[in-house]
Amino acid sequence: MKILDFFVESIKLRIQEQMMYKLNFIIMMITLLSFNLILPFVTILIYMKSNGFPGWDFNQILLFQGVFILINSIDLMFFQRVDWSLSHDVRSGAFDRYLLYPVNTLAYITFTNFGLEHIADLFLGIGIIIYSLIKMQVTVTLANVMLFLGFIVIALFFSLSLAVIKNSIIIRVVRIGRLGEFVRTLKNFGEYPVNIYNSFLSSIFRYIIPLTLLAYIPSMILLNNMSEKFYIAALVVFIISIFAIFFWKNTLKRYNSAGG
Amino acid sequence: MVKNTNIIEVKNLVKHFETFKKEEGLFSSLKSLVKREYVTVKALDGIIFNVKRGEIRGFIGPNGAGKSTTIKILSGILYNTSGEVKVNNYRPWHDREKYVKRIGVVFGQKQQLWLDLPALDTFHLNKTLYEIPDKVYEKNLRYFVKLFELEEIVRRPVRQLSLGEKMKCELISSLLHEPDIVFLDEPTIGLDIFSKEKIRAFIKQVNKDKGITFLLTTHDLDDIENLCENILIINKGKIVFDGKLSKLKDEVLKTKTIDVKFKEKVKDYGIVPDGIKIVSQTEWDVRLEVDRGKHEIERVLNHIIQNYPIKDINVANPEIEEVIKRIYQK
Repeated sequence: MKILDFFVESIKLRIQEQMMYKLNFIIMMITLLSFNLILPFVTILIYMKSNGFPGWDFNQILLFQGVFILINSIDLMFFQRVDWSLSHDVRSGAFDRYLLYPVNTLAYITFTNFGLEHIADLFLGIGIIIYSLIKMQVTVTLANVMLFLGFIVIALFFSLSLAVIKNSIIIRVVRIGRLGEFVRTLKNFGEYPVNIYNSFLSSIFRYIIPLTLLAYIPSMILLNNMSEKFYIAALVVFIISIFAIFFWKNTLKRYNSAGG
Repeated sequence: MVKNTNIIEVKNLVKHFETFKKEEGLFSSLKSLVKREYVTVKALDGIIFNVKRGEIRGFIGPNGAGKSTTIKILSGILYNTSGEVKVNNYRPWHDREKYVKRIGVVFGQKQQLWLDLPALDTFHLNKTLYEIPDKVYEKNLRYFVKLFELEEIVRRPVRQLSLGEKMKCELISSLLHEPDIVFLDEPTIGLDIFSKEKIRAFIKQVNKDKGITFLLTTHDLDDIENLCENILIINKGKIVFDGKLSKLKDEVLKTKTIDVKFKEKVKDYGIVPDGIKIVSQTEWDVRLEVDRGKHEIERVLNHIIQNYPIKDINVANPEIEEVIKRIYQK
């Protein structure tokens, strides 16, 4: 399958590219791993110093953290670099080249900006999930694992749709400052159990901007607390995805390049 | 069925851009935040032209004339406002992925190679993207690298290469998948004379060996003279000339220049007839500009040879810069 081959080749090239600068690569891996190890410890400290989150014990919160880190790491590997490179390319006219290759433009932008920087987070997230499940002595069934993975995929589609909408906005307005940062900050609300928020925000995060997909829903599935209402989030993602595709296609029609 | 000999067919192509005006200064910027004055720029105003398969066509025009906009529409980067475009039997912006598989594009001012890696790595990625079979890829790579003598260059990181070397690698990258047509947008810009000559020779050889059509935009008129039999000239969004380069020279410049060197001093040329102008003179030489509408060059030459002590005489063809300048002014 061409798109898969292209994905593999792009990742290889990105890895080769980062390895061209040996010291930078090593320092990058060390700093990122250190930084992401701190995050759960900070949460532990906050939890231990405060009353924690009502209704949730320490290991459950750790599970949420692990799931969030897992999903976020994949999100960052695919979409973080696109934020700044796309804006730069649109401003300079270098975006033109993305339209010259016989492959889906979004795929080209995403795969060629793939970053290994958060690969350590991925393993960290998996490690925390396994640790917290063992500590809670949760029995994880195959069905739950399949459902869990299915909702991880839906969560990634959600991230992809947000990225596509964000990229479309960047192409239309050329310079959008800290839009990427805004989206990331918004997503951070998904790190915690949704019921810690008031009913208004809770409804928004369940049914309008389904941030519950980023940690709450997958965690609840692993804790054997699957609900039919979770499928509403999947439906919302489907609607957002359709909108994102049309928005993107319309954006390309309106693309004006830069002069010269 | 008669095979269409045209690879590009453009009919009444129009492209408008919406942009906004802003005066200089901070106050004007603040005003612009609240209310903007939008203007419509008519980049292309109903252009019509065809390009035959296997040609190397020159496409020239002053800055802002619409050359790059035309190339971007032909390569599928931009949509048209109205009009028809067919390249290789495709409408560029429909079926984009299938269409671009049969074209190559090189921008003189924009890079497509991965900067931190050797060009060979980008070539390999393109092999995947364009689904080039292994044997075809190896054969083409060997052919192009040998033609340009880049055996060592393609193994070095692109960012360490000179401008000329980068451009050669960009050209190879655009040709590995054996496109039917290649759009070259100022490929020799900023290059030294040796690199320019190598690139011109390369384009000629590839056109001859593989029959690939080239549409070349350039400000370097030596590119045109060396490569193109036919040219298009665009000005203010309209095609102002479409035809042979030689016809352009004949049509636009009705004068010829004659340079004469004398064996002895000549102080007085006598009465110079109407239609002949003395451009410059000394006692040892003279430059004449002859209106071909009023005088036959042969008769003028015969008159000079019979009546003056000639050491050397030369009839100069019109300079292409002069030709183009006059077309731009139309």
